[in-house]
Amino acid sequence: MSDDRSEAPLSVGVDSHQETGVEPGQENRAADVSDAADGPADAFQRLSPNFVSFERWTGYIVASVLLIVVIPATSPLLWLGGYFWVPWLVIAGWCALAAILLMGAHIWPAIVYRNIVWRLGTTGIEIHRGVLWQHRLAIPLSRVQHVDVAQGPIQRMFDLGTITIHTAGTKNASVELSGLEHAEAMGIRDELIAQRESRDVL
Amino acid sequence: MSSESDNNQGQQSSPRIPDGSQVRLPPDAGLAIDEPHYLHPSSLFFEVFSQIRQYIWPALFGAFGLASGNPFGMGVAGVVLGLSFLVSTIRYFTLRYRIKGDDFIVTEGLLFRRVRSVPVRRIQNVDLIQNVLHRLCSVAVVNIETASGTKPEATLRVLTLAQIEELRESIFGSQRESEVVSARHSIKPPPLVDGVATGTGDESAGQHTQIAKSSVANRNLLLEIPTKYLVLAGLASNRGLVILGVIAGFIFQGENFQFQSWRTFSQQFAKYIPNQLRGDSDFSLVVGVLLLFVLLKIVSAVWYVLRFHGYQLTRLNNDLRVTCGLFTKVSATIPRGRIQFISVHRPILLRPFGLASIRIETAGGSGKEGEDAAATVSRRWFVPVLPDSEVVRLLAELRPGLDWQQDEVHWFGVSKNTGKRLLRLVLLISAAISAFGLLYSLAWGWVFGVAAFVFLFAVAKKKAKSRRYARLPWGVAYQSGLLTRRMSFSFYDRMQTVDCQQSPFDRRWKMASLRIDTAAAGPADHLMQIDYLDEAFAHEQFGQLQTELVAHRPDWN
Repeated sequence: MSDDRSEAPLSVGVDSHQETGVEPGQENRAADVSDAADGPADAFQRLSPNFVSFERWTGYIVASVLLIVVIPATSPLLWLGGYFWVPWLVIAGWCALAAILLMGAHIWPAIVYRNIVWRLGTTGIEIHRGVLWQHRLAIPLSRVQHVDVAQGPIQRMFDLGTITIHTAGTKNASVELSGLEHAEAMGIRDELIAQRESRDVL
Repeated sequence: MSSESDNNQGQQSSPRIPDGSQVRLPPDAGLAIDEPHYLHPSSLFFEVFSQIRQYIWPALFGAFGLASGNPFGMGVAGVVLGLSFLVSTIRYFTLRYRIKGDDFIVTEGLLFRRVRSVPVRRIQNVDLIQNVLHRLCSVAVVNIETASGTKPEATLRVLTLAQIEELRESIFGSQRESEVVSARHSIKPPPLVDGVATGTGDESAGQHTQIAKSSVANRNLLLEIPTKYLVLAGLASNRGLVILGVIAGFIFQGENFQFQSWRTFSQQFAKYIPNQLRGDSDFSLVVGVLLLFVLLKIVSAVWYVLRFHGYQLTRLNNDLRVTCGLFTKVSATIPRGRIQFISVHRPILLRPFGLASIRIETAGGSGKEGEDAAATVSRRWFVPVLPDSEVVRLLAELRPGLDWQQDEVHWFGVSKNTGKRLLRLVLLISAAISAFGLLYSLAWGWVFGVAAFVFLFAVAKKKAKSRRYARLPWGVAYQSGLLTRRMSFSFYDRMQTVDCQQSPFDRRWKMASLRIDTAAAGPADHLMQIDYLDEAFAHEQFGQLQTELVAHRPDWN
């Protein structure tokens, strides 16, 4: 059940070697403002492949904690008595729950991974994400107020970082994108700050 | 300073000085409030008063305790009162404000000294609140707001009107009379009155009237609202609901009026109805509800008149100023360039009278918590009511270049499939209602479902049809709503992010919704979220808006 992060973790149909130049789907992207020079930078990119391993690990941990809580809590059912198969049914239930949780923790991150793309171009940063509810979000460079890059302990193990972009907006006052390679997150931050005009936006 | 003031006629052409190379003012550049200023002496009284208002409940509790022979509560109340006296005395003697260079600085505190420095250019609005007591002393409370947070950046309680005028002039740098209209700039011309220091109310009263006169003469009166319109708007609104709710809360807390059930409520209520009318309690309940409704409307109308009496909207160069209020007078100054969003509301009850209202959003003091009178006036009801024929003229005043010609606008509607999609939804709801109906009566229960279907489908269809979206050279217009028809304007250089969403249902129907986020969105009560658009159209607009946002940089200052 355990993936080592050194080996290729993306067994569930994730094309890990196509990080750059992904075009996720259909029609016009309003990318016509791009310079010829930064063509590749303008293309959509995926998160770091480590994102999947990271999410899986956190998923496993959450699932284990849940099981540790649920199994003792429901263990009195074992002594419910009645028929001989009742304890076996309970154990089967536990196994099913464990299987569902662990499978979910294993499969879901890959699905999420395939549904997040981002790009940083001359127009600003654009993020497409969401599995069921799909969002496309555009933040022009001139609207970026400030940028944070954070890295948690488990993220550090996988060399991942979370970038948080703050705007003066209301609903999108802060936009988070986690699962980027830490160095890349830092790079994006530098670029956003360098390109941003240090001017009032209100 | 005329060298600064003559450089430009229009906003957009003003030279853009990047932050780093900001032209710093020499120390003697003529800013009025260079040396520290104190609050007005009457602040002591008003500060204590406002503190007491915060502690009114503990104080009452103490008094109650004393009445029932327990001096402990009164002791607590006394300590609280004493402390608040102490706090306000310290505050009065230590608080001073000044404008130094580009910063507005407030210093405060004895043990813990707090220095708050706000760049003048970041100040979004300066509001002034004057209740009856303030007016007797010709002083007012000043709130200074920036785009951050939910509370005003600084509250100065209280200043004389002359001080306030001086402060406003230095902050917004309005021009003297007879000077050419010029762009607002980070460098301020000298204020109207030099050397008006911290005089007492009596001394500065004469000067104050002078100032008031000269600035009113200089100001461009945009709109006045006759009381008749205010009453109409009040009757059409349900503002009284909030007030009645508060009153009802007080009543039900009383010992002899406990709410047990509607029946007992109406029986108790019946006591207040004259004998001839009092039949059974059901009848009195109906009468009660009717009376309550009438009361609600009257309270709403009274509230509108109290708050907006003598409404005046004036403009001096780029600063809009709203002054209104019967007892508590509010005067809010809003720089035109700080308007983020404009919304025109046309409630169904006001449409026959040809009336509308305008709401704006500014980034200052955006939070919902502790909304005071100034916030209500300047953000929620910027123009509480006005004739529909004046709307276009005012829109152009609020935002130069907003030349709104309703007939020439090319509107985009919702997707063609919206009807079908809503039909499914309505069918589902009606089926559920029919099922419930059948539980009551097997023979006739389905009637409910059919009635619900007819009604809901008509409403849904009309509602979908009322949604319209238009692209204009300066921004986007969006209209929606059946009962209250809302039409809002968002500007490319004021939009922060653009966002396109698809729920699983949206994807099934090949639809998407487009959302435009602006700073401090919400008070205008009309979110720029345009649902049920065709997927292809929404995605196309998403891309185009992105390009427009890049092309229109938000630099007005």
